[in-house]
Amino acid sequence: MAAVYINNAATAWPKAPGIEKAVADTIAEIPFHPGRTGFEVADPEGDCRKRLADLLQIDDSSRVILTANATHALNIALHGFPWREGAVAVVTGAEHNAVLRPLYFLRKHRNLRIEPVEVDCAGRVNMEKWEAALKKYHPQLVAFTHASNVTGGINPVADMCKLAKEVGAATLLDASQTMGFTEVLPQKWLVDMVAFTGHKYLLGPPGTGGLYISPLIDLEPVWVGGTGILSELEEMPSDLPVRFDVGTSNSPAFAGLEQALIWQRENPAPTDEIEARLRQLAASLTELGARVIDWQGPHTPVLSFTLPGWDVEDVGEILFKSFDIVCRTGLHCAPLVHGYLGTSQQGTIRFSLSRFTTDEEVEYVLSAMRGIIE
Amino acid sequence: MSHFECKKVENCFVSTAVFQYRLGYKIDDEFINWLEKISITCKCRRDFPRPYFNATLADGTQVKGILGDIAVKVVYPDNDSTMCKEAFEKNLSYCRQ
Repeated sequence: MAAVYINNAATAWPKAPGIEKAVADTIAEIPFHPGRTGFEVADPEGDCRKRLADLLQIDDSSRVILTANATHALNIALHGFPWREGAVAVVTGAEHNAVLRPLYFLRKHRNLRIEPVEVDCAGRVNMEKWEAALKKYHPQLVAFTHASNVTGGINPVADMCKLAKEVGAATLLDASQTMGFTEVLPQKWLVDMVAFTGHKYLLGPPGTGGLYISPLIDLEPVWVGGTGILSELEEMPSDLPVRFDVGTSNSPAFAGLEQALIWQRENPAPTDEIEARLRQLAASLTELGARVIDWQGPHTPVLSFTLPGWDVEDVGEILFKSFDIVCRTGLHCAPLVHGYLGTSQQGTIRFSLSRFTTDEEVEYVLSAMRGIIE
Repeated sequence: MSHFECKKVENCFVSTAVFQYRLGYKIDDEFINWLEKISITCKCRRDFPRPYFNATLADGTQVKGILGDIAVKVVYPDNDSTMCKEAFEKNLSYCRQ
């Protein structure tokens, strides 16, 4: 069997068909700049933005800022946010370092207070504690992940945002693990900002991502410089998306992401089949003695587990080096959640499937695991 | 003396002492025999598509790798990694004379 790739929560592979050609075609074309040449030319960024706005079901595509990844988007949101002196940010205990580290930086340099809220054994926020924290701290912003990248547990975003709005907090959603896999609906759910990446379940190229900014939010740009238009201004233009669209962007990659969005729209993911494979893995691993983290509710195609008596890193290495199976082990850049899962010492072994994972691959992974354990 | 290149392996944890040793030869049965001599336990899973070995030395140092590969991973115990590293490297340099 060829290599089996089950690390899609980190980077999806394979990608959507046709993106290589879209990227290559854009590189091969003369790089006209839309709005700067005086006539109609291809606009990969604008087209991609419209597709993303469709997916997010928002009315105005100019409110989608294109970025290099979710981390860049989160930094734009968190560093550009108009923090008040002594403000509080409430997060969940399942955040990725892409959320936590910008906040830690702001805590150090801007006196921000960060209050993480406990998550359950599936990595999902405890709603009673969420509500209590909002009432206690009156945060200026809540920032939280749509789904834990460690457990796959999906948070009830609409309920969380409703409670946040009741205390006057702005809302920032990290949809890195969900965009392309499940619905992300900022207008319906009262989400003010959504950060996402193109290289995971959107099946696009690495180096693509974005940030949706609602009309209620006024961010300061983090990066300033040339915009190609309104060049007489000393400050960045106020209109979106140009306010955040600084320097030359990665047009070929966004052409690739647009192609991935087109393909995904025409080919909806077989979610029932993915779920069946995930459940087969979970049941069989449990039978083999693995301590599988149960989702207990809606989830992404992620399965995390530990193996009593085994170092998780060793299991990952054996799977890769002996069996050509690519998964991920460790803390998965989300250190806090392991305190709630009881896995702080080593982290977990994480299998993350995609729409392209086959029954044969699942069976091969299980036979490898049987070989390791027995 | 055998020559090797040593490189620290970074993982999720700040305090771990994990190193990769790139050897000047492929790991074979002679290497496993040597490892068995210097360790208290040494297992080689020859039933895997590419056999995997894992040895633990008396001081707690762990040596792991794949038969046929040219590198091994060595995990030193947290409490005494410098001494253990010196001892293992001295041993490793005399592995193939």
